[in-house]
Amino acid sequence: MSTHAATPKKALSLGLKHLVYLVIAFIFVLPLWWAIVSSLRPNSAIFADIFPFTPKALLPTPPTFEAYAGVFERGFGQIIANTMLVALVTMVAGLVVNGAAGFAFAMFDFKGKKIVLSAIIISFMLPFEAIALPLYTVTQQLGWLDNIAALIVPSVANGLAVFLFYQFFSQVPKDYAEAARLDGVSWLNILMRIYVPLSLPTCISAALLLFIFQWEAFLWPLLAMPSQQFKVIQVGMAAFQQQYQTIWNQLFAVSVITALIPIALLMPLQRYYVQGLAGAGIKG
Amino acid sequence: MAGLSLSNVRKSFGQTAIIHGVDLHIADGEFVVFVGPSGCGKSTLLRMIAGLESVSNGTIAIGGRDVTHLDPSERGVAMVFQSYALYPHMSVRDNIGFGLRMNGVPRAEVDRKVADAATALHLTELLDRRPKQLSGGQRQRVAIGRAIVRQPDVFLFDEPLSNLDAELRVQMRLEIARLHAELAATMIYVTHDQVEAMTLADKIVVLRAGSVEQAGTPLSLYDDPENLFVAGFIGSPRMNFLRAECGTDGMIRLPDHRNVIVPLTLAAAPQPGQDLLLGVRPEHFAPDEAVSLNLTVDLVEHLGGASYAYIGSGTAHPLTIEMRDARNVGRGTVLETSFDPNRAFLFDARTGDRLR
Ligand SMILES: Nc1ncnc2c1ncn2[C@@H]1O[C@H](COP(=O)(O)OP(=O)(O)OP(=O)(O)O)[C@@H](O)[C@H]1O
Ligand SMILES: [Mg+2]
Repeated sequence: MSTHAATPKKALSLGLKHLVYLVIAFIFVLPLWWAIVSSLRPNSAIFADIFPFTPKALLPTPPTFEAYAGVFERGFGQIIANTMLVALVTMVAGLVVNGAAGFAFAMFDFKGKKIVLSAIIISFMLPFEAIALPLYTVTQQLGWLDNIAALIVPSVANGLAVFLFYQFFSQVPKDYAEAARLDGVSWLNILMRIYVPLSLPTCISAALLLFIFQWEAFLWPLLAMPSQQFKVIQVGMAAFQQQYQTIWNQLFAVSVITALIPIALLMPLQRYYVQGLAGAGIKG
Repeated sequence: MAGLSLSNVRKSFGQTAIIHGVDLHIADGEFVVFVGPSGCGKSTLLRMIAGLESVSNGTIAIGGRDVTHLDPSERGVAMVFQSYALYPHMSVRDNIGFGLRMNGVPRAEVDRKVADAATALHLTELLDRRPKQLSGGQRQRVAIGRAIVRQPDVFLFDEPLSNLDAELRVQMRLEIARLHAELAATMIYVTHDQVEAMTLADKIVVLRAGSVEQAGTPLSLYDDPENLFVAGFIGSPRMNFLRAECGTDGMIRLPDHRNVIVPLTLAAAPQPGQDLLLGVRPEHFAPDEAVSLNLTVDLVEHLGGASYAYIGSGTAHPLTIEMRDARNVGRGTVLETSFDPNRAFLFDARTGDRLR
């Protein structure tokens, strides 16, 4: 390629192009970058170098982890642990329940299958706000308010995850299942030993979906945990913002933590995540 | 090992009847081939025997045991799929041994059985490969290996060779024949290919639109087809059908061929004016037989040993004639040929029934 850029004119246009890319990338990354930078400053220096603006505003000098230490002192570690617990339990239980449901829809024909499937598809298109109130009533009657079960149980069954599994499993040639049935393999083993290994990207997509769903939950945890003894991250962050309005660097630290944990999870699995969703889209 | 019997087996998908009352008896150790045009229900019938498709009506018995409503795994059958259906994430070894392991057979025994099957099918070197890393013929052998380790009473094959190229098909055909001889198991084999049917079968079952047209040994179907459909289906190239008429004198004539008389011995003479077809196989034309025809050749294919002359292509009743040592015949040649009326078959053109 470099041989083609031999003439100065070409080199110039290539350089310009990359400059444009850099600027665009910079614009996108700027908010996150600024949040990270600010979380690494002492609170007193948070607005330094901005009015008037100097390039030093983009680099913390010198960086300090004092904000992060402060955040954990205020009990944010417990909140992260709470959220992790809720999200991971939902994820594991959700994989089992939604995977099994998707498998059943893909494998078996039964009366009313189309109607049930449509109901499931509609269920994930409804905004959560629409079901918040009935869900609250049910939870209350079960006596689950302020119980962690109220956070986990309603999120385990996820229409989108069922649909993802259903989509993938129906694309797998039926011959595999039939060959295994002739061999006397149980349905559970057909699912676990043939379909799951073939659908790893879908499993990962569904797992991330369930995890992120819980990680981002705000309204429901607020409603279901009125006493606020057990806080999850979005609720914790909101409370933190109200309570410590002026401790800017710690606010930024909380935001960075909230944003970075799912990103750190997503990054290595990104390839699978996109693959799973893309496949589901095309063959729909 | 076990025989098999189907009585009045029917199948409908929703309102559409696909299999219309099939009665069939298959002896222990027999090699039975289902042939028929596409969509006639061969695969459906096979899948019903396997238990992958429910039976709408009638009974299926294997080894004298009624299996009509049994689960596929309880029927003692193994099936080789057209797609092979090898699990893509497992090695050849695991593919072959999967069913055994899932049924709680001890590890050592699984290994021994897999090794035996691999030896029989020349797969030993390939045991650690994935299906993706195998050629078509090798995949086919793995699929067969998966069937034989289970030592089933009945083997079912659904067009197992249709994804292979011509040369490999011949080779695998021989291998399947050898397997049948060695295992002495009952085998049911579905194919489009009538050479496969003729060469492999102890018994051919010709199916058409969900009914059995005729069942019998390959040669009995060839020598004595019961109707127009079977006559046209068995034999390659296809049997020729010439338009025929019965005069008031009871003689059969060929109106397209200068009303030549075909002396046939029939139990009952057909009605005068009835539409008839006379079937003569391409290989039954010879220079000096009783009924002679003069034909203008459209096209000749020289295969070396034999040559095929095509006459009247594009008309309702084209002819194909097999010739030996006819190198000088070409397009436009007027061919004088003849056939032995004793080797010809007479059919009712309307019903397709054979007239004897
Ligand atoms: N699950 C099904 N639902 C509805 N109709 C079906 C189903 N399976 C098969 N059929 C119909 O049954 C008929 C027979 O199908 P089958 O697959 O048995 O044919 P076949 O003889 O094996 O054909 P081919 O030689 O092309 O494989 C076809 O008309 C097909 O459309
Ligand atoms: Mg078929």
